[in-house]
This record gives sequence, C-alpha cells and structure tokens, in this order.
Amino acid sequence: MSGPIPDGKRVAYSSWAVNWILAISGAAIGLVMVLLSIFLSGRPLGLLIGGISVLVVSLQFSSLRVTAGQNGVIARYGPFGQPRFRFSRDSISEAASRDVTIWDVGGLGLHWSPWRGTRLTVRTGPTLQLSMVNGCTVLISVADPDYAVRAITGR
Amino acid sequence: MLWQIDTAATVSLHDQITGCIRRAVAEGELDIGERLPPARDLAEALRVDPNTVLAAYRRLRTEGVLEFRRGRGVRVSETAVQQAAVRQAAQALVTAGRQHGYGRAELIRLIEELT
Repeated sequence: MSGPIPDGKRVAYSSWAVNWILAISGAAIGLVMVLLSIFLSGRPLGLLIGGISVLVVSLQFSSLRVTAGQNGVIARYGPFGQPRFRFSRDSISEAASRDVTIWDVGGLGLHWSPWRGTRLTVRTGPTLQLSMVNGCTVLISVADPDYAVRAITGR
Repeated sequence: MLWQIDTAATVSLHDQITGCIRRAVAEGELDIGERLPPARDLAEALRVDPNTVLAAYRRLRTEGVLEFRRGRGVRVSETAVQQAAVRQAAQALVTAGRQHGYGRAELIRLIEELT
C-alpha cells in the first residue's frame, strides 16, 4: 500500500504491543515480595506495599494500545487503558518509522526527559517516532509503524 | 490493524467497519482474545461518530464474532475464526455459483441437498 489516500477514504491504524517478558517477570517479582511480606516474621508493611506496587506497575506498563489516524495518535497503557496520552495532528510536525535499541529509549515503559522527550515504549525494534511542533520527540511502540505513519500523514 | 472506510461508498459506515473486522479475523490479523480499540478512540481516528463504531461492535457481538467483557473491553471471541472460515467458504460458493449461472434459489437448494 502506497501513495496518497484517495478523497473520501479514511484510514486508521490500531495496534497492541506487549512485552510478555517484562509483564511475567515483574508480576513474579511482585508476587514473591508479597508472599515474603506475609510469611516473614514481623510482616514488614514496606515489603508488602513494594510488592503490590511492582506487581501493578509491571502489569500496567508492559502493554500499550495505540490508535492512530489523521486526527492524531491516542496511546493507552495496560489493561485499564490508563494513563492515556493524546497527540493531536496539529501538534505533530512529522511521523516516521524508526528502529530503536534499549539505549535509545533508556529503558522500557513510560519515560520523559527534556533531552530525550517522551518515550512510550514496551519493546525495542520498529517504533513510531513523532516529531512534535514544539521540537520534542515522542517514541511509541506499535506493531507496524509504517501503517501508523500512513494513517497519520495520509501518504 | 489497518482500518479503511470510504465515505463516498453506498455501503453504510458501520457496515464498512464490520467488514474490516471480519476481514482481519479471516486473514488472521486479529487473533482469538485480541482486544479491539475502544470505540471512542477508533471513532476519533476514523473521524466518525462513536455510535457508528459501537453499532458495528454490537452487530458482531450478536453474530458471536466479538464479546464484550466488563472492564476488559471488546475482544475477538473463540468462535470467531471458525465463523470467519465458514463465511469465507460460503462467499466462495456464492461467487462460483454466480460465475456458473446459478441463481440464489438454486444455491439454497444445492445447500439443502448437501445437508
């Protein structure tokens, strides 16, 4: 599929990207911490809270659901769809497909830094890169970034 | 998954969305249990009313292709792939029948003879 989208036709792209290794390992670590907090003498509350936090955060931030179209991009984390990020088409100057490594994204999950911009990544490899009008860069994990680019740009 | 609709087509928008899902299931692009985008998000991406997407989802739920689960969104049901395969075979039969001059009544009679 190539060339501009004909008049009257509308294209959207939806994707679900998940990092099973991150989800399973995070959930396992969280579960072990919770069990330890129950069976250890003194029942440390900090360990219990830490375990539950690791469990919830790892499950919530290991999958990403993205919907893209000519209105922009909506990304939702985890089974509950929160937090939700919306990047309107007016705020996007360019969309492209890019291969990223773990060093590019600085870790998986949700990241923001003034130098690297926003990272909504659950895995490495082909990723959607949005160059924003304000000069920031956003990286979003999607299954097929080329389709996402076509849906956003209409080309 | 790529969703395509044509606002100039005579087919209604929710029928086109229904067709996108059926095709994706038949071609293996959507797996059993896979979650579909929230109706509100897809409607915004396609620039249609959310009720148009919901109408498509509801129709496919009635047909058993999708299932709605509270708090878990809309998913492809376990029977969807079988249904898609049968539907594709039926579509192939109708196409072949038309090519060989069979009318609707003749095709129905043929199916009745075989079942």
